[in-house]
Amino acid sequence: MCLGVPAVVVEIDEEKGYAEVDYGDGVLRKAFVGISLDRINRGDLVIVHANVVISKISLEEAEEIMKILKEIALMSDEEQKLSKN
Amino acid sequence: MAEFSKFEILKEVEILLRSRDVANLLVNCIKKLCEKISEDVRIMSFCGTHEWSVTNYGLRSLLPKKIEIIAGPGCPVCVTPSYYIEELIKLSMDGVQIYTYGDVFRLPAVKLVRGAKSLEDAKALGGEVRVVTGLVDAIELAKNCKDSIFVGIGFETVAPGYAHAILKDLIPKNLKILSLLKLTPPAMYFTVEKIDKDEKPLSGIIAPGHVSTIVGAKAWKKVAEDFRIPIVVAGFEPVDILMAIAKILQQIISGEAKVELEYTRAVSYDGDLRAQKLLSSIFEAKEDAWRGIGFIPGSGLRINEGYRRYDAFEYFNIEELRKSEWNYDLNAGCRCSDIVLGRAKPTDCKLFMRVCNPENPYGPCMVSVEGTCSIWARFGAKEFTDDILEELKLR
Amino acid sequence: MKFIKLSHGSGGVEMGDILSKLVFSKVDEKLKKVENGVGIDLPDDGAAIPLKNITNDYIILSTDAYTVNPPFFPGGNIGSLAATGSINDVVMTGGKPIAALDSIVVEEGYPLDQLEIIVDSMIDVFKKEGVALIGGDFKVMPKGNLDKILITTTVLGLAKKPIVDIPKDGDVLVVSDFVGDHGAVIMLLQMGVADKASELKSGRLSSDIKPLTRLLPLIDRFLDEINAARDPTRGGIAGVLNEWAKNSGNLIVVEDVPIRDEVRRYAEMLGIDPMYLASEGAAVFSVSAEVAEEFVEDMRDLGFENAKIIGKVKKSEKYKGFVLKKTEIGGFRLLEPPRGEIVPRIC
Ligand code: SF4
Repeated sequence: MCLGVPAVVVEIDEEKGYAEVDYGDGVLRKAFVGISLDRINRGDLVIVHANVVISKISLEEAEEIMKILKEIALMSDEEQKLSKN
Repeated sequence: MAEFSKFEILKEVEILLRSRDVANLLVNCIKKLCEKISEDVRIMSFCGTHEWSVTNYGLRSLLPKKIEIIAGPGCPVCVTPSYYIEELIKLSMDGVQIYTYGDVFRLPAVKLVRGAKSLEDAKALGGEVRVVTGLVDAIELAKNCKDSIFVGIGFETVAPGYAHAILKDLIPKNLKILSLLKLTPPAMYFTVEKIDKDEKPLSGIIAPGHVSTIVGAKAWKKVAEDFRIPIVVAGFEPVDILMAIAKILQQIISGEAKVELEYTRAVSYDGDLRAQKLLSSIFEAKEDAWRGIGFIPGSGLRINEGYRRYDAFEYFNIEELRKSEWNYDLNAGCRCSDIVLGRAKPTDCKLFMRVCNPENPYGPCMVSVEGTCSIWARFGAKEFTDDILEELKLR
Repeated sequence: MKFIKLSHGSGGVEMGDILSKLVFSKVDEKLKKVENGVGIDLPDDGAAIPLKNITNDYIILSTDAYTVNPPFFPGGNIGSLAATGSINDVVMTGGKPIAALDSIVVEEGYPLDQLEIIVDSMIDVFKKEGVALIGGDFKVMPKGNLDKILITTTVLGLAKKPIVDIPKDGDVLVVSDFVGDHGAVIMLLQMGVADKASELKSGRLSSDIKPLTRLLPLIDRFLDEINAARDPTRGGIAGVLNEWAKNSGNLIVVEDVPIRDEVRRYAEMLGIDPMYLASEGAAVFSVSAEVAEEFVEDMRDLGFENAKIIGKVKKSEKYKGFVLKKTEIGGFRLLEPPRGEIVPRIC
């Protein structure tokens, strides 16, 4: 129900609570920061929904997922090898 | 360019979250878990965006027959009462500039208002309607303009954005917000309570990931406990959803019913406290009408006493829909209310693809890209793809 | 600043002046007509092409009206679009474009310098492609009766054999390049940043407008193996494939259509599917399976490095006319024909 899109924070207007974000097409667009301002810094990867920053993507957690998924992906390689033998 | 490297990291994650290998393995794992469960498994993906991912990635065609994924009421467009659209059509034709999201633009009303059945029609007939991607756009466009309304549809996710703009006084004087915001947890409670009395109750719920970024995973605890249903807060990539399904199955097997978090990269247990505070200081929760469903207590947000000068209801004298006057606001024959509650499938509606299709939506579920009928119309029902795969021996 | 006036379009001296300044003086003498024919060297109501010199079997003609709001966008303008669009239509029908007609309708009050840039870009495309501009029309509409500018171009070409789009069972689908670039740019402009030139400059989205004439040798070589060819403009690649499936009564299965990362991210932001976004410099072909690999190789050699096989055409008894997409994770779903306007969504 809420299409959220990842974007990178390029600029923050602390006073007004605006962030300028890049969704990956290089165009800077304004978004409101709906969440705690101190959670967000320049360069952060955030999730934006309809011009509103709703969360920050935690890179640690993302790496954690990557680790797990890579293991899973490896397992599938091995499974394939097993099934071929 | 430094910023762009962040996208590289994101891309890496995304590649894995959309990876065929990972998905295959999870599907196998889900199949094995399914063998340990005797009854059919009915999982509700509460949020329309989950439903969109499920269909867009063809997940149903990968899952075992035993698992049924049901779409829930999580589409703010489908549940917006026809009455408000009708009022907006009138205003747009009286020269008030209306700013709206693309899917609200196409939402059909029940009544014909001055020759228009939607804001799209109203525009073609000379009404002042413009599609925007959000309030930020509307603010830019409305500067130095005439009286304008921003149609404030949405859930807890956009709500803090609107609240923030009001609190910081970022909105030009001529722009008013028509808050039709809805709250998700009361709606989930209401839906599950209704379905719980059915013959086929739910076995699990995939809870909305983005709403949870604001309200936190804690918001779903009451539903999980009161109805003893496993709930998993999930992200929106296909692998996210498969993991959530696996977690629900595990809970079913071990006889648990708790709230689990899969979308750890964006959601915490407590959510964002500032956003929650913003909501309670700018808005008040009211009993609100959900299109085709009825009134749900404490499920709507209206701008509160202190900030009336931003309120379109106040400024334009728009009357609230009253419970006593509430009509079942669906066109005759439309089964959206059952579909939104997960009690029927689009193919159960006699009008589906005959009278009602995405070009000419007859009911609200056919409008939003997220509406269940629209999704089924565009991507086809599972049975359908299954059959094609069968014929072409593609599996 | 100079403005376009109503009189510029009324057929008098002013019109003659502006046309010779804007158009005639910029077209090479040689390209004002087809050899031994009549063109804008002697401006008249129509143009004549001698057929006796021509040995090819078919004349290919295509016409299209172009309106883009705003007329200027990253990667081109309505002028380059109008020339390229009709040229590509001819190429995709198997024809080598040789001559063009244009009709420009402009709104009273439109800045002359901008009009000049637009017309220059159009002529430039024709020039580079060696297409003669042999005639045209020019009109001015009163302010408010037209949104800035409208250009219609008609391009004529010659072909040994026209390509009539009927993909056959067993065919392989090949795309020449990334798709959706142009449509993404237009969405971007219409979604409210149109007047902010600086924002656009930093952007990585750009229209893919380019003539597809470089594909002609390939089309020549594989003429008997090509069962369909099209440039996916409005409606995007989803539109083309659905039309093909429907017209041929076959079923089409696609996967892994190349989409630029920027375009994908922007489309995701709006919640729209890039498969429905227009391209103005990409082509899709349906070719016999035996030559598919070779076809792609040759296409790459011609400079289309991103050329790629994206799917197959299959016979189906029960499901004629459908397009099935194999998703990234290996699931299947239907790819519906484009419907209605593309609008961004909230959810
Ligand atoms: S198919 Fe149309 S009429 Fe039927 S339930 Fe869905 S939206 Fe309503």
